[in-house]
Amino acid sequence: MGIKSVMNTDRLYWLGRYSERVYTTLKLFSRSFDYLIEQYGDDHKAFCESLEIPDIYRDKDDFIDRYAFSLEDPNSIISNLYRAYDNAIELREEIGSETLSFIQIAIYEMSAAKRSEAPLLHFQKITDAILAFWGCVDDQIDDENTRNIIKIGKRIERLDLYARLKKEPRAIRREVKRLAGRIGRSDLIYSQDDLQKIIDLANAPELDYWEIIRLVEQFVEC
Amino acid sequence: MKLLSFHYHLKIKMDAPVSGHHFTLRCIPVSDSMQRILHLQYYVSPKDDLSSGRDQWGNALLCGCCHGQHTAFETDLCGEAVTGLSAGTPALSFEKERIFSFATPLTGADDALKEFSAGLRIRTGAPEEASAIMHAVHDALTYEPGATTVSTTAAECFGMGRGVCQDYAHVMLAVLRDKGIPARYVAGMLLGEGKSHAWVEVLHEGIWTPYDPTNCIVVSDQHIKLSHGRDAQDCTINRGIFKGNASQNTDISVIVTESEKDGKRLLW
Amino acid sequence: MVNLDKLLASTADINGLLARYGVKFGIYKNGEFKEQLFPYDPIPRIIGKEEFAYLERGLKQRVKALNLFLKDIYNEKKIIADGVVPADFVYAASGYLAPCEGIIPPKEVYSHVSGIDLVLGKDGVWYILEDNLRVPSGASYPTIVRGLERLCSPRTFHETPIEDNRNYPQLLNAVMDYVNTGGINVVLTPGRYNAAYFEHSYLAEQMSVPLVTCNDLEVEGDYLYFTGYAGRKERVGAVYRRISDEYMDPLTFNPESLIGIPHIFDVYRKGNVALLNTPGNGIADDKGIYYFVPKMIEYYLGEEAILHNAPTYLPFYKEDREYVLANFDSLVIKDVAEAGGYGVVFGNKLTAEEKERFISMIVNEPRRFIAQEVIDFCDIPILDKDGQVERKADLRAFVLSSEEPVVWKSGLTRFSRNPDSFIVNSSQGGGFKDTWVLSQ
Repeated sequence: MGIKSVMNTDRLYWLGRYSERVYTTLKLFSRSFDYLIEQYGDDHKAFCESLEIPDIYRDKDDFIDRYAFSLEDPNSIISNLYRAYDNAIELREEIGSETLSFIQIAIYEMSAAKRSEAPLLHFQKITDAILAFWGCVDDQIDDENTRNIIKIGKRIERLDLYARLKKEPRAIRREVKRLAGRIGRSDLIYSQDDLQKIIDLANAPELDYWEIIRLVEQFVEC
Repeated sequence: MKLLSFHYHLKIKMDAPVSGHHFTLRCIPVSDSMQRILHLQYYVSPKDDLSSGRDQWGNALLCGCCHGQHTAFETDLCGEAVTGLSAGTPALSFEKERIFSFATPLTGADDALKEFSAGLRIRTGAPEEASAIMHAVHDALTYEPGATTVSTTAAECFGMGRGVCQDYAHVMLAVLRDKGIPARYVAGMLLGEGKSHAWVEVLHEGIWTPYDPTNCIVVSDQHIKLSHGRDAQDCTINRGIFKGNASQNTDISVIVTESEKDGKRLLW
Repeated sequence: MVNLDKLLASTADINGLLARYGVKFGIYKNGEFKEQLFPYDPIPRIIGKEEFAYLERGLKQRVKALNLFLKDIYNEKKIIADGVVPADFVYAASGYLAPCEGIIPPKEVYSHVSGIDLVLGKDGVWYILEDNLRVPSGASYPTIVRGLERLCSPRTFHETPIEDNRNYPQLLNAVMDYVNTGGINVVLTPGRYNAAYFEHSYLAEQMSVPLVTCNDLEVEGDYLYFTGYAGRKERVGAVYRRISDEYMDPLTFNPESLIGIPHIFDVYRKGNVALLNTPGNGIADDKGIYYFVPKMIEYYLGEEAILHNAPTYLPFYKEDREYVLANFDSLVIKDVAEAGGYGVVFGNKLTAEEKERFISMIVNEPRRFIAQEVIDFCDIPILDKDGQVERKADLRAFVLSSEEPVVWKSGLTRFSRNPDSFIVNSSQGGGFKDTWVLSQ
């Protein structure tokens, strides 16, 4: 297909971002959950701080329930999944029914997990759906620009999350490299200067995580 | 027959900046068998794009848009018109004009108007029928600016007994259509007047003959027609849409003067 | 006998896959938008080759006449002049749009996609229920489910010669290409909160054309453009629009409308873009005009109508009015201004008081109503929780018009879930079936 509407370009980018956000936070959440099992008190606070989300939770049980499943909580995993869906549902002709169906499946599995006796076990199915979605993006979308906008969204989101989590420099550098290799391969307009600054920051002996986050959030026009 | 020179000026002021402004202007007079338009000049400002067209009734349109922010919009139009070239304009086939015998939301007759119409004892189909209706409508109403708005219906105006030229035209249309006579609304300019004007054209034996119920005269050479339609809505001079939360203030000034030259000599 | 065992056994799986592909129907309940699955029933409506050939002839004839009617009404108006259709029925109808006067659309096609609703009576006769010439929807459902049916029960399709219906998007695309005035084809949707959004997006995907909203299209000078990211733009030559007339162009139609594409109608009037279907088509599928369709066929084509209307009376005519008042209890009365199964009243279901009120409405505004004999529908089997039961169903046939009308060899069969309901409109519950047309 030829040109792409402004809205669809934006949706593809955010579909990439939200699918990544759901995927990574699901993994993090399972890890924190495992850690919280032996803890008493407010240890979920550290989790909120690391992701820069407000701690609105009464206690760890409330956190586990609402952070995963509350539609009223804008930072919850389910809210982010619905944002991915809201973008995807309007992209059928861009990404294809097949690719779109995996986001739909993730939604169904999320509802199933919520009803399940053991939600954490059920999360695997959501992760599977998102991985299948990414596989399908690679396999089924012929248009390179379309594919790359999603992937750029995904790379930017991952770098953003890793920086917030203060991941080790090696991990940050790897993500910056992957992003830099991808960014020029779509129609997306971005700032070359900002990209260079991000690369320089990632290679500095001491990482300025906040500056990386700031630049990552602004350097693409979407 | 007269040679009239006209100057039409429309200015809209917005109280806050607007953008993405699309507009359709219906204020370009067209030459027909009653009037010949000469030396027409116009400008529209601001604009990024302007193209001309016609609507379904054959009225000339100027369609355009202005993307950037602005707080005012202006149209200026001037030229000359040779008027009174004939007593009316030829109609299309009766079938094609029949739609003008159906009432519109603005020209529907309520019980009071129907009664009024029924009380006019004129021989149906007689040439003087339209003229008699015009006199009756003129006598039934009092000219009073501000008594009505652009969306006042014929029935509402008739109920109050007051109105301006648009309302006179709508009431006359309501009566004519109640009697099944095809009639249409005309927007235009009048010699000497400071605003735009409105009157009515009535179909009789293949000719649209214009009547001015506000002044109670058969139109001859003092009027310049801009457009016609089923009612005032079809003849809206400026229809626009824009982004921005602004209220508009529209100012229209019309100057029509009789040229010094002898109209007859111009018509060789 | 056609073997349906596997389809009957796999209904839940097929519905599961339809859910996964987002085959949904939007519905507003108490002002809130809800996506609802459109339940699939595995027992197909099967139409034999001969029978379908008969329907095909009748449908083509009907759509040809409707198209000629639209051209006539907005131009010469001969049918009014010759006294076949009263002028009142045209100019007082809500579907008549004065701005369309004098327009001849590209290639003279008005109704590119016609959805004609039929029912099969117990007398074995097919009756036309109504014509839908504005934005008829529903073709996507049988199209998408066919692929699943074939996967589910390959043997059935191997053993039974069934016309493939998955060519619908190609047929539609061919119509767009035929009327295209230069530029790309697009599908215009009001957005994801429209009842038929799934269909809009699915057809766009299957035709590989952009799905756009009003914001993506812009008029510049005398042409329409699709404006994209980074300031790129491309001329548009045909718009398959799934947005109703009154919201198309706020500068010509409803001035209150906040959506629409300013000046698209002016571009269309100049012949520089094709709109599918043409604005103003509502005059031809008006419930009052329905009565005149057989007369139109005679008038324009000099042929007798092949397909029958349900017996219809117009209270507008004195003789019919007397019949309607005398036989009120056995008739169904329709308000011509209402659509979608609303404004339909069965004479025998009214209380004495309601009946009196209704009759006085008919006497005061005879032009507003039509009355029809209640057709005894042929019930067809559906698979319910407790096995097979019989329900009312109709058939929406799709006719795609380019140089000649083409009837899609399938159709949307809708059924009512409620055993007492005669109304199969999908906005009032119910589900759908595939329609199999035999090729031998």
